[in-house]
Amino acid sequence: MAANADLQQRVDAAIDENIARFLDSHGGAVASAAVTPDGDVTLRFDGACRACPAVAVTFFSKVAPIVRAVPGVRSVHAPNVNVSEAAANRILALAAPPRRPQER
Amino acid sequence: MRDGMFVFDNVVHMYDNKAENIGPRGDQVARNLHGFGVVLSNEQYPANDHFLDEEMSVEEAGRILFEESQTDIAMAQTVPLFGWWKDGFSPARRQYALKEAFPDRVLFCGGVDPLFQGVEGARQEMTRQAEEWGAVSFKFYQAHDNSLSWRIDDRQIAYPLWEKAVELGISNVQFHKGVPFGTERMEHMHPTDIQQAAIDFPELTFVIHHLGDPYIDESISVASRNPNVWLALSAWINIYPIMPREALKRLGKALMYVGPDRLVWGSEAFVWPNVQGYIELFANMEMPENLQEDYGYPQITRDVKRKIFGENYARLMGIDVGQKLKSIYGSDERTP
Repeated sequence: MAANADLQQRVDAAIDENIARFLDSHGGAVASAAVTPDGDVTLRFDGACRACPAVAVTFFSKVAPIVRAVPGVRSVHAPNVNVSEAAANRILALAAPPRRPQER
Repeated sequence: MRDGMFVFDNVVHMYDNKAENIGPRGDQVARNLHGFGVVLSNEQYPANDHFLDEEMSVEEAGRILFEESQTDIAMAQTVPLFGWWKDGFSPARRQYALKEAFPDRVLFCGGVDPLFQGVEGARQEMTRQAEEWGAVSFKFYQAHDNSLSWRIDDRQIAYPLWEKAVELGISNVQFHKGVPFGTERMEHMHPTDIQQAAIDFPELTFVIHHLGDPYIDESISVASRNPNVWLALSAWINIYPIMPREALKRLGKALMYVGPDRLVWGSEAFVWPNVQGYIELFANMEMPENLQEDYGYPQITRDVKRKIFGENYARLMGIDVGQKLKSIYGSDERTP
């Protein structure tokens, strides 16, 4: 797998800026492990995140949207996040901002 | 090969239940073990019907594994339980005999016990089994009769064994966890004593067998947090014909928390001889939608099956699968 150093740097910068301190607050961490020239990002969770039962929630609701927003990123995945599509969709639904009640 | 997937059976046992090998209370424990096999059997997936009072022959083992099943290679694992059996339930010499009969297709897993052989005796026997018989891994059983046991993290009893394994160039050591055969104490079969040893010996991989049943959550937790702790699915596929839902939940949890890269296939032959039947079961297995929905367990994809069936353990053993298949069949017919 060829590397994409520039994009990898921007992915790690986005993580540092938006989520790293929050994860570090309870002993967790995440960083890019590999980025292909086509923009496919593989993340590596570490520390308390490595085997956390909630790592899928952290990934789908917080980390993946941050990484996906970096220009040039095509896809993002983490090898230690292994949940069903149903679970991923449920996490995304829970993480979505609440809708405002419609005005009459 | 099953449908283009390499099959590496991590655990088969060349048992010896002949009268001359049975020790004190060994006849009862052998019957217990057979009874365990019978409970988890049905017409299609029977327990071995000539288990008691006999030994598994090299000829029958070869036929079951390499003529009647799609197993490509297998590891014959010593069971060094020297109390109930004089030379162990599955003596090292019988595992070596299978390897000698099928040198391209069988790997020899040795086994010693520091309580019965002494620490230095066990170390010397590890060296002998590696140098004379080509042992590439070692299997350990820590719990015996009358509360006799030892811990994996014991610096006086166990660490000299792990140091010896490293010295011999062994990549992985394996442990029977959970699943008592007789009157062992359950706490002596708990998997949490692997943790400190796994931290202190990062160059060794520690394999937990049977998902530590009934300590399944604990086994999965230890493996999920330690990259050099793997899980062998031995005696897991064997419960599927009787408890399919339970088997799927156990696999789903292991996949979710440990992932598909550190799980290995084991048929537990020859307690149950229908090796091909179990291969078919796993090859056709799917995670039910309601377990994906209700528990969040991932789908059992072809990629997951390919890894578990053989590619994972081959990686740990440093085996080039393509070269191995060419040496056996003359070609590598794997498909993605």
